[in-house]
This record gives sequence, C-alpha cells and structure tokens, in this order.
Amino acid sequence: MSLGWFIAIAACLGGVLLTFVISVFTGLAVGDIRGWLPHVSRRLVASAARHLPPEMADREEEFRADVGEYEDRPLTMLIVALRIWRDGRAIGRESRRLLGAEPTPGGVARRRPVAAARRAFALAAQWTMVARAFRRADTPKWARERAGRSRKVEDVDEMFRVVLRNLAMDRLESAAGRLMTISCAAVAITSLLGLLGFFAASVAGTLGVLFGALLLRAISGRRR
Amino acid sequence: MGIERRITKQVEAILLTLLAHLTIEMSGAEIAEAAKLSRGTVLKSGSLYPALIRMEGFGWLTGQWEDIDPREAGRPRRRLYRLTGEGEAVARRVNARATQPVSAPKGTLRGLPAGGAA
Repeated sequence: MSLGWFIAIAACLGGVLLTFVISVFTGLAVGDIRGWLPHVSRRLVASAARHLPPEMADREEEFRADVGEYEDRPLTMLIVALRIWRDGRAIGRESRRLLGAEPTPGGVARRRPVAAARRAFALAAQWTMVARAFRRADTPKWARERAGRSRKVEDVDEMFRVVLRNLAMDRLESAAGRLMTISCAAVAITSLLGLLGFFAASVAGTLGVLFGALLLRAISGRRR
Repeated sequence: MGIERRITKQVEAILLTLLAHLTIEMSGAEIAEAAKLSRGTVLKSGSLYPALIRMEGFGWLTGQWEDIDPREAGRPRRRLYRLTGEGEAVARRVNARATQPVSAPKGTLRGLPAGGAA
C-alpha cells in the first residue's frame, strides 16, 4: 500500500471520528442550551421589571407567568422574554406616567423633550463658539491687524478649553452626551475645514478658467 | 393626574378580543395570542402591558391574580383580565364602529362623478 492510500484512509477515518465527536458534543451543547433558555428568559424578564415603579413591582410575576406559557417551546419563550426585555423601558415609562410618578434618573429622563432641548441648547452654544472661533481664526491677517486683534491662537485655545470644560459639566451627565459633544466639535472642525477647502478650490478653479480665457484671447489676438 | 381615554389600535384590539371571550378571564399572553389569531393584530409587550394597566385604571378591565399557590403549582401566578360593565359598553361601541360599512364620498358612487353614469 502506498503512502497516498494510507493518508486517504487515515483522513476518512479522522473525518468520521471528528463528525461523531462534533455531533455528540453538539447534541450535548444543544441539550445544555435548552436547559439554560428558561433561566435566561427569567433573567431577562427580571431585568425588564427593574424599570417598573415600586408600586407595580409585582407585575414581574405577571410577565414571568406570561413568558412561562411558552415553557414547552424554549426558543419562543426566549423570544417573548427578549421582547419584554426590549420593551421594559417603555413599560416602565408608561407605568410611571400613569401613576404620575417622577421618572428615575437615567434613560427615562434623558428621553424627555425638556432634557433633549436643554442638551440641544448646551450643544448649540458650543457650535456657536466653535463657529465664532473659526471665523476669527480665518479672518485675513490684514483685517485682524486693522481691527487691532491678533487672537487666532488664543481663540482656538479658548474654544477647546470651553468645550473640554463643558464635557465635564453636569449638564452633559451622560456618556452619550459627551460623545455627542465630541462628535459635534469634530463635525464642526471638519465641516469648516471642508468649507474652506471648497472655497479655496472654487477660487482656484475660477482663477484658472479666467486665466485660461485670457490666455486663449491673447493667443488668438496674436494670430490675427 | 388625568390620563386621556384615547382608544388606540392596541386598546381597540384588547377590547374586541375580550369582548369575543366575555365569559372567560384571559392573561396578557392569551390576549396577545387571541388578537393575533382572530384579528391579525400584533400586540407588542411594550404596548400591551401599559395598555392593560391603563385600561384597568379607566375601569374598563378588572385584573385579578390567579388563585393558585405558586410553590404548589410550580409556576408564577398569572394576572387574568375581564371586561367590566363599562368596558363592555365601550367595546360594543368600538365593535359597532368597526363593523359599520364605509360610505362612499358624498356625490360619488364607486368613483363615478356626481350625476350618475349616463
């Protein structure tokens, strides 16, 4: 028997053995996962119930019972539990609204229009400041000197200082708010740079066209 | 705090489902399942449970915990809902409105202009 045959037979046997091992372990794993699913579902429901106001905390039992109706279908049970978990915040918010209770600090409060408007104002102030600083920084040197101001570096410094100070302020208490501020500043800087680039390209293009036209005119004049 | 008694699509589905099963008490999951089977309305948990709580507050539903011992039964108690007299009246009004034939716009008949097809 040649070495090639030996390798082929060994590969076949290895493949059969591997398939057997994988199927046995997959079977065990599936069985195990099926056993975990109800537990995971219960944890998800408990997590959703945390959003409920204390007066309605007993409703967790209702959720658990409703999820438990699918005990014989663990995957459906998990899907139903996932839906309750996903909607937990909305259920809690609505329950609080019905009870007339104050929303807890966190996600519920952040979604309120007043909080959103306050955040927008905080960000708008920074946008204005960034725009103002860039306008000053971008003013031609002769204009700055005529106005007695040469504050390009100071303005940009001030801008970043205030933005950084605002990042640590209480009014932007969430990580999302900070991220928004950083992205807002980044967008402002890139858009302004882009705008400057666009203007520079436009001016260069216009000058190029004018120069070309003048050149053509001069050439045609000489030929005549 | 006054809550507006608005009949949303979800509230309507719950009312009509419970009206169709007047004699029995149903849990939230059963209501959702029945609404899906009979009316094709999908009641998401995010709107189902708040709607049930709200309707209980209006006095349209009564919710009662199932009379079992969770330890003995080996499962949590379900909360079972049933229409009250007021809820039934509201459900009947909603049902009448839902089954009312849609009238054609004034002056037209099946898209024909006013004055007939002559």
